[in-house]
Amino acid sequence: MRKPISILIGITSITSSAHSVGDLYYNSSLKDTTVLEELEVTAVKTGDRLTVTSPVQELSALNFLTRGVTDISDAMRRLPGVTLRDYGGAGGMKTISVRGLGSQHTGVSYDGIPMSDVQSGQIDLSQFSLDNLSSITLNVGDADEIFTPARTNSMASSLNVKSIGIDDFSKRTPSLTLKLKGGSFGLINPSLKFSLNNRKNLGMNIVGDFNSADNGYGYKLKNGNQVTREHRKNSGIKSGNAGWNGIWKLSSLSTLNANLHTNISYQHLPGPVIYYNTDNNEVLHKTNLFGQLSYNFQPNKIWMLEAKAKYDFARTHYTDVKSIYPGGVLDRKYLQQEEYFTASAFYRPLSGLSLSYATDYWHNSLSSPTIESPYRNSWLNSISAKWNYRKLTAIFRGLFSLIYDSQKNETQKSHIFRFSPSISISFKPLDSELWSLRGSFKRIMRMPTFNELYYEHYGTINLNPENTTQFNIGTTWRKYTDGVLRSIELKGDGYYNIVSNKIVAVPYNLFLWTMTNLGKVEALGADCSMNIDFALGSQWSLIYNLGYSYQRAATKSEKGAVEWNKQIPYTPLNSGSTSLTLMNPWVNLVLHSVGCSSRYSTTANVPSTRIGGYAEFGLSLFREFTLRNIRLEARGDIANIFDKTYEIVARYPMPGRSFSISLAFHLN
Amino acid sequence: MKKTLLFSSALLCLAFTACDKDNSSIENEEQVIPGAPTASQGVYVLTEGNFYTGVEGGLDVINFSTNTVNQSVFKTTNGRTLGDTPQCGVAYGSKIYLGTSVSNTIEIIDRLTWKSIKQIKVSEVTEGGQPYSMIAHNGKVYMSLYGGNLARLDTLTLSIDKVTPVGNNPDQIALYKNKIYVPISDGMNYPDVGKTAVVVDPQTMEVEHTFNTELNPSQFLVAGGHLFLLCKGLYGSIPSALYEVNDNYTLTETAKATLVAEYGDKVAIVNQPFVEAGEEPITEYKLYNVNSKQLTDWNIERPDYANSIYYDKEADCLLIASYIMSGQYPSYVLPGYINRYDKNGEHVVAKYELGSAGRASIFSLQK
Repeated sequence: MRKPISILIGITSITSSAHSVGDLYYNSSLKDTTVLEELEVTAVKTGDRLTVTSPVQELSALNFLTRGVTDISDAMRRLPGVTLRDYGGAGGMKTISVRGLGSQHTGVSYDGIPMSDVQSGQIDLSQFSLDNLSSITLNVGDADEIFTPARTNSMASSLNVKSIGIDDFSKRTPSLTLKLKGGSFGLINPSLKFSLNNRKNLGMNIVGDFNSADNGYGYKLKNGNQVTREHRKNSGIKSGNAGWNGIWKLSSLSTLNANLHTNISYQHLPGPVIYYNTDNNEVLHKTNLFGQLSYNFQPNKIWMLEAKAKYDFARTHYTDVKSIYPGGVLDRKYLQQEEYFTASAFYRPLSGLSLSYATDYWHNSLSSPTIESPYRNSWLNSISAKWNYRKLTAIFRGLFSLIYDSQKNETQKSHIFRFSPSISISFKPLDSELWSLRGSFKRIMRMPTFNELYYEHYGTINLNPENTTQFNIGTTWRKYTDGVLRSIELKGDGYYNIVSNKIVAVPYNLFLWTMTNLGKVEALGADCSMNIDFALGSQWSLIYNLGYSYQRAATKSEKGAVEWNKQIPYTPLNSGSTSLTLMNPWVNLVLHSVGCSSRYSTTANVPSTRIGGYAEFGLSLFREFTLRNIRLEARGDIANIFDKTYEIVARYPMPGRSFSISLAFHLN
Repeated sequence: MKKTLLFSSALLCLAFTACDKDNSSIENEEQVIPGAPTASQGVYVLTEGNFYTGVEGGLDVINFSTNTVNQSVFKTTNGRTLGDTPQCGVAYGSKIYLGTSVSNTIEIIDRLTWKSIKQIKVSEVTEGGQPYSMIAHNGKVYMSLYGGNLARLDTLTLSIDKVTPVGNNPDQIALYKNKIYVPISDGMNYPDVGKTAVVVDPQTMEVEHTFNTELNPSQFLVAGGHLFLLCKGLYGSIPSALYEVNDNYTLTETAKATLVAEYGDKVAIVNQPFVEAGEEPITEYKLYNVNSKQLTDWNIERPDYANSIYYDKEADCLLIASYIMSGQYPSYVLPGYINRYDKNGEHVVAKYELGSAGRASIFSLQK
């Protein structure tokens, strides 16, 4: 049983839920039979990852702990190939782009159902709290799983966020988890999870959290030869999440899942740092509500059917009090709604051959003071085939997209029809080695956002979609031993991506910029990772993780232009992360670091807009205590130990040194 | 580098000092430094930068005598930035007054040494800040504040002594017949932009008159003893045009225009009308003769992409600031340049590379 334990702790890719995380510590009761059963299951899943045909990176709730991941922003920086844009602090907007493709090319799914923002095309990840998540998975290109909604594969890459989920029916309920986190900059973050099931076919949980922080952190402001100590102002946030998840096993063949989730936030926006001026009164009030329902039916071993539906309501209210506005205030309200339906079928006609078909329809609408009520109907159909033959796995997928755009009371309408193919293959050359090779190709489009299409005089109604073409080759090698070096995993992927028809803003005269399909970007890069687990003795181990990315993403829009062949903004050539974890019977320790080389905020790479590279270090300590049926998890963090002042986005300084402590009580 | 800059600064001061023609004292001026530069020896160029991409603006000084540019003199001299989006400036007496709109400051510097004398944070004086344009007159500096005010700065006390609400988003002001004319652009109220202008008495700072204009009034200018107003209209539906302001405050259209400047008894005009995305942009250069009221084609050696025009009366030369081109589009993040033209305003006689990017405001010592 020792090998599976090593896989779980030292490698990656587990799907343990947060409530069981404590069971998995070395200082906890590893002799517990239930825990060992879990370990065996997760080890199988880890083994599956060896032969993935496209790059996959996963961070589980356990990884959040053992790698000292502090928040969603930190989690994103642990994934090679991901470029984070973080506007700083707990409430600062956080978006990601993958391998130089731009943030609008990364889809985000929550519990398997895609999220959307048709206005800007970007999902703000700051809405997710790690406390409520069981895993984060990044798929570059297509996922290996073919029994998915068509929309899942409609983006160049996808980030799948999985919530804590519902306890297995074998678990004793009711169970309650209470957690309280507090820290620097006025951080208070209580959360709860209550689970209940009848141990047969009905289960549910309620999750909720509240987050409050003033975010008034200090930073050094360099102004010419002078350096002053400043503090972020107008930066506070109050936000809350509440969710209900239910499961009903209708029979041994079918299951119904339901989720209701709401997120409400009220935050002051500090804006960019302005020299000599700290006045800012921007406020953003967001309300998001969604409900989703999914039905799964598996009549036999060769057929599976699934249907899902979702309604999403997102209201944003922005105000800015400033004398330059009429009446002294700018007041903007935006409402986005989406109705989404998907149905998919899975068929396994032969051993080793799987086929699937999925059809998705969704409707997006936007109510905005600056855009005349646009709406979009999207209908996607995908056909996929997965073939396993001896050491070879091959996946073929074709996606047919029909998009229909228009505005209320407008006669001008546009239709887009595209076929998007993808192929991915993996090969395991040797039986004696845990070694695999992979290669993939994917071509996909990104629809213009409503802002790009319709924003007054800025948008261009006849824009074409952006096209991306991705090529990837990679390898994974693993080794398990009974010696001190318990396990090692090495992964490496090289890629070449092209974005054509890129939508860019161009000036047409002194006071007008407009959107057009002019740009082209080519990205050449490599993502590597290494995970090593050393056994240091009974209940002692040392785990080391390293991630590194090289990205050369260059503008290739117009030969002769200043921007030609320059690195695209906010994309470092080199970035990486590392963590060193000492598991022991007393207090587990994690020393971790993230960093990247310099970047530019301008497409022309103007020297004065160079943003210096950085390395941020952190320290985590965690421990679990058990008292009868109460389990207590304690964790302490010091982030940015050396109080490094740095920026990810120009003029938005990141927080300096900060402390946080969290205590979680599990009762059942 | 530092030594070179210091040396060139000193050289420029010497050049200005040596060539001074007019040391006439100015009322209320605390001290008139002998040898203050006149326009005939040089001009000051304030560039906006590009705030949203983090590109700084700054103050450059062009010396006509040596045909050199002293770049970023404020930052070099004072060791700190002038602020975000330097917007307007005026050289008056022994000082230069510089307004930044995003930082919302007025920086007062010595005209000869460029050392900062005082920084005024406008937000500490009035909520309706953001300096947008400046003129000097009779010992005072008047400035429109985009937050809705006209402010007056006393050059003796170096403080704002009067603020008058004038309307939403006042733009480029001008002095005409001893009155200050303020266009009320209401530009932040798009598409319901402004259609009025106000006349303010500089002594009392009272609004004496309000009159209707065409849509989006943006810039008053005086040429050949006549008052003109540029109204930028509303994109393609109402084109940007230059109007002469008649004595009874009615307007007479003189030309379609998007960029204008006084040029002796003429108005220099650049017109880049709105075109839809994908259409070929058109740029016209015209001259409007104030006396004959004739609009003629201007056969000028064109810069790449003009963003500001200035006529230096003392030196009798025309200057046009331009963005540099990056492929087929102007670059708003790379430093541009200034063309200096011959007496006929047709041929470039000198080209000056600027130290920072963005739209330029050009001014010389105002007497």
